[in-house]
Amino acid sequence: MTVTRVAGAVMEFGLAEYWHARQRGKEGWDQASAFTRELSDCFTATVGKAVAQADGHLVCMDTEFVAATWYGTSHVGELMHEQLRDAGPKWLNPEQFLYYSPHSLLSAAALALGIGGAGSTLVGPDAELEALAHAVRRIRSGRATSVVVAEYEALTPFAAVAHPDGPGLPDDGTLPTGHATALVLAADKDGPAITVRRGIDEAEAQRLAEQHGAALSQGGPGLLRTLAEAETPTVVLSGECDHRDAVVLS
Amino acid sequence: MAEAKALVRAALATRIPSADVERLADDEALSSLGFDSVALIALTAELQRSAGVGIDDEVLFAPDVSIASLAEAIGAALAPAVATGRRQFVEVAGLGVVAPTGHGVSELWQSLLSGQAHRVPAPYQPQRGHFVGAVPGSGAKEITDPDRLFTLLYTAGEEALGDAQTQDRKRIHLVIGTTDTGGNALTHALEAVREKGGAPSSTPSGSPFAGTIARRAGAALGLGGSATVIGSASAAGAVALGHALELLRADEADEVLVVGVDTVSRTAFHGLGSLRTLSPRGCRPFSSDRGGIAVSEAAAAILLRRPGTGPAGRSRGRLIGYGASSFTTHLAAPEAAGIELAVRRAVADAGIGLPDVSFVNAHGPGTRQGDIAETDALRSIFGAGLPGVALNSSKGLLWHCQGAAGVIESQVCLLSLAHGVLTPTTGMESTDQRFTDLDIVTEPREFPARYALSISCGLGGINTALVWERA
Repeated sequence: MTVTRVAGAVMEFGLAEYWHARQRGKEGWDQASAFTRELSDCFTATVGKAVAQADGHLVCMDTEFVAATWYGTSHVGELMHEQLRDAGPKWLNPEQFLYYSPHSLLSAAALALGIGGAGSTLVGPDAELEALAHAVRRIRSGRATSVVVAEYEALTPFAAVAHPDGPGLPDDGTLPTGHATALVLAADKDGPAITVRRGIDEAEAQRLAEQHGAALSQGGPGLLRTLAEAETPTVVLSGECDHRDAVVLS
Repeated sequence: MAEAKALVRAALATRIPSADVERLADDEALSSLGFDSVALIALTAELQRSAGVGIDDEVLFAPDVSIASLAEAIGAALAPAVATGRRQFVEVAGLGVVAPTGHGVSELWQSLLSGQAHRVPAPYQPQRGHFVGAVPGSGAKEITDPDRLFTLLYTAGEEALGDAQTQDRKRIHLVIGTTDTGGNALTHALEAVREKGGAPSSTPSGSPFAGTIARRAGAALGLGGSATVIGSASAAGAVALGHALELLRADEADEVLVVGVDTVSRTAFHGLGSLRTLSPRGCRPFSSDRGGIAVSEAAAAILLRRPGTGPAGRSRGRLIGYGASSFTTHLAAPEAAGIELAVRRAVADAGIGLPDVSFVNAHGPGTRQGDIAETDALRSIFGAGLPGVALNSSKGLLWHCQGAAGVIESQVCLLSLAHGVLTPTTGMESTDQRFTDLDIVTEPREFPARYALSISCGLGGINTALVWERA
């Protein structure tokens, strides 16, 4: 069973207005709260774009859905904390709490696009690789015929700090942008093949790159975007030097 | 095949008079009843949802499509799971738990039988008479500690590893399920930054970023495999078990430690309050006076092992199937159809038949709509056989353990199978009339079941089901 990339879509969006709203304190709460819905809409639009690129019958009630994020929707927890501290529980917006879970964006996209298969949201530094690996396992085992793998990120001023396990930040000190990526993977369709090799060493990674005539790049946050945008064979490496994980797009 | 035919006839009966369905022969073309292509598409969509399988266009648009041909397609789609090569189970090698029932699995079992668990007044103002479930001996100071998530996780994880007598921790992978992504660790760090400035602190109370807790816990427990955090709302623990099952089935791991863990955080407590989900009377599943949930802190750990890779005779049971769905009509609304889909997928994945399932540990949150949606799903799945299926909910005792719920309730299933005893649904003083026809367990009952079905659901229409088998 070959796992193929059938479609991919990427979206970037500015966070400046949201950051400004957060800096305004109580006066910015309504706008900050509305951002949560906007982020969800951006994610749904990105997934929708990838689904539209795929064969019309490919994404359906059986399609599975795995999402990855580093900070998730913790901005909701941040805002709620500020509201509870400065004003009390009566200020909480019930709709806002629907997005407290990082899974809520997947739920909203699944609802809007009719994706009814098993869904899961992975959080943290390894989320993208593990989400992709899970999707590949499901298809290779024959338990799923198509899987949407997606990521989203919208850092807050609090979260956009250097962290050893954190997402990459702009080198020039500018504000990070928000982004979302979606891939549609399916069994034995037209498109580049995706494989995941776990626990290999540097030499094996190099051999893989040569075998596929592929560029070798480093993994981490942005893995799914790399796979969505790659037009030539690519090998993306993650992990420590003696225990690497490689994702091969060929 | 007979079950598949019954499924097709049941779907037909929702569209045409039952008498017409009964008169129709298995191999008679559905076009004889006036079914056009649009009606067939709608019928097939319903069948796909209820059976949890896909039906090809060639079957659907064949001129002589019939009950028999649709049933054959469903049977063929389900067959691979039933075949020996696909019926892949994993062993339960160890259990650990810290919860309002106490420390350890034996205290959990005693609490389930006695109906006693530890509650304390909610540690956040205004309390409005609310209580929360807490580990015995813990007060507001412990419950609200910013590193509480890690403390609970580590305690349960260590117990499960010890229980499994694991030889080499370096080969163990870790999958954590939690909802605590905006909780007290985060807010504690926010306050520290506000007061002192600088970057979010990662010491001494751990990182405020929930996604990093798996790496931290893996290092503290001495594990050497991958470390994953699942943040799929209240179903996170069950979803974590599903991910671990796939890791093992794919031979990418020999052992996976799954921990469902959650604290009672201030933001989640008041957020649930803003949705009017909290009840000061706690969880009362299936009760006429149920009015919402109460939440608990807890961590529950299960060490899953690929068969043949550990010491013989250490199995506490088997995980044999997992199914899930993303299906609702509103982010805040539970939907029977989504729960039904998850259960049918789990049973198909397990490679057993519905008549094999004689015990269901329900999600049973004790919300007005949640209990109705779940029992509607079970009625649709088991039909007239449902009153013969023993049903309980552990949330009457445990309350809602959030991200830990799917794992601790799986432990309830495993312990019930091992002891041959079903535990009572507590907090149910009078059964809602909607549920009086069901066999809801209200007293400890000897019941030597082979399989148990555990259902977990989360906000946003995430529905899961796990099938456990006695060792």
